[in-house]
Amino acid sequence: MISERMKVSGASFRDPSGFVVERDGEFLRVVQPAYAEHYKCLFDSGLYEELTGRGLLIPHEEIATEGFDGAFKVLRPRQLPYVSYPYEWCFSQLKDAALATLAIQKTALSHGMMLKDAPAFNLQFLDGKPVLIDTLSFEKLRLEPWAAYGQFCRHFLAPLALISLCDPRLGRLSQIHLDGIPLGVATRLLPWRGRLNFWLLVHLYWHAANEQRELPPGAGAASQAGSGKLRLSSLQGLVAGLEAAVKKLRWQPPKTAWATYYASSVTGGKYVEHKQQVVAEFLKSVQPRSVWDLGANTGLFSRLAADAGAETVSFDADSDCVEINYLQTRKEGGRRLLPLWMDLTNPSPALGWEHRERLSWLERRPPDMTLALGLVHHLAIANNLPLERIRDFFGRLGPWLAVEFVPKEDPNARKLLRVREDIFPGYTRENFEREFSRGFAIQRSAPLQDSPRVLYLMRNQRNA
Amino acid sequence: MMHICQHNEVVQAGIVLRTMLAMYVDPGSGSYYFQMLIAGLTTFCFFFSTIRRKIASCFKKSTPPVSASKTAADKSKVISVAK
Repeated sequence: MISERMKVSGASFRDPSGFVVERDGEFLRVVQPAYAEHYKCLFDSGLYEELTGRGLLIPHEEIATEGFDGAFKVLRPRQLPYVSYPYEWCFSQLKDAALATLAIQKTALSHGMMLKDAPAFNLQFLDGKPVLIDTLSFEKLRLEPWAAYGQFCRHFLAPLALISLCDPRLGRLSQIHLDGIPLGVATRLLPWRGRLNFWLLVHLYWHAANEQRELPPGAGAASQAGSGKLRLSSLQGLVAGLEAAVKKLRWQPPKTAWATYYASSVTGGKYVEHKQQVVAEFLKSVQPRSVWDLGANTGLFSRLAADAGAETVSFDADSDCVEINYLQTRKEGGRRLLPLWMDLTNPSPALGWEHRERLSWLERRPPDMTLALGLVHHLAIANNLPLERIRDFFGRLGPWLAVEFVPKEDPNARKLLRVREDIFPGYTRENFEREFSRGFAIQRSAPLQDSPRVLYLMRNQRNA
Repeated sequence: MMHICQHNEVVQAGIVLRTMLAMYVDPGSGSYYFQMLIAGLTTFCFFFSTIRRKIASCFKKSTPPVSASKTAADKSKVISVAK
């Protein structure tokens, strides 16, 4: 029983070991007495200390259990600046999360414990690195087949193989299959050469062929002890084989127009330099704690926000850009920057049981400031969105907006109109300012050098 | 004619029964069973990777040991986080 001030997370109902509640904007993890033995073992074995020290497990502090009737412990984990989901990650993010999961399992095995589940949803990105957020995922080691093996293959190995060997857009299959891509589906989509990777042959193809097999009588976790015994070395070898399979999968983003956008001649002259200067000025005057960069490309302006001290999330609809942005962020190390793959015209919906397991994009905590640079012409011209609908959309986000207006005479806007009829007579700077004045107070406008574009800083009247 | 109808019903019932049986298969049981099948392979993989790592370490240059002060600093950081 918990007090009315708290709300149980919609995704927290499967595990009898505990659940997550939200209290006064903070997320807490309640540990049930049934998990007490495993929780003690997590500390006594030194596993918690080692994993938190290596940045693989989210650290927490124990708080008073008052108000949580019957709870064994209440944990206050380090709070996440932003919650993202595996279907919003690029290839290398998913690969790093997979390797982190295997490193955790390997360490747990050496401490006499093991992961009882391995969904990709149990990891989040913190300081640029994947970290396990479910502290109750561990149980005492049982020398029998790893219960989370199938889940790991569906959540990580199948999408990674599909991206690596087929197409990066197949990563989106994880959005349809919340418990991971069925191995039979993955193997049917993969090209024949997938079989040439020995560990893929074992963990995807042979595994898929045995997925529907029934257990022999007397075998299984719920049966008599000793019926399904495995050696520790066999469990360790399973992790080593999965690690080899994941490490061997690679994907190189092609040089698309978006990935080389800032190097192109269209945005030449002093335009980019001046835009960086103006955005930095806007950030300095607002001093946001959190920023969303919409249509971030490879994160040139997101980096300005991160450097200004804001927890920044870069969104882009092009998976190649997200991959380049993430690899750059990883190289820079520990930046407050999270690149995510998101199509604003079709953002992540609410999913799962009662639509409450995975939050929709707009349900997540909005930022202090939104950057919409070089975006409005794509929404208005390429997607036929009226200016008032675009204004209303930005109005649902945070209190501050930095938005760039790209007029029709701009070379990039002209490109969009080259193959379509101009049915946008209302797409003018005057109309843009008039429409946006109905929801925002325009604080500053700055025409950009060597370009017909204008950058605005606006205050959202809804949050004022 | 009646005989054909009865035959069809039996076939349909058989299909429904097979579908129901398939639905009762725990989606994790195949993965569980498969691990027992490949247990020998994974054990071999573990010993092979261990031996390979040991051989590789013989040919690698020894890395300088971490200074005592750094180790102590790291440890205190871990403990403060754990609290």
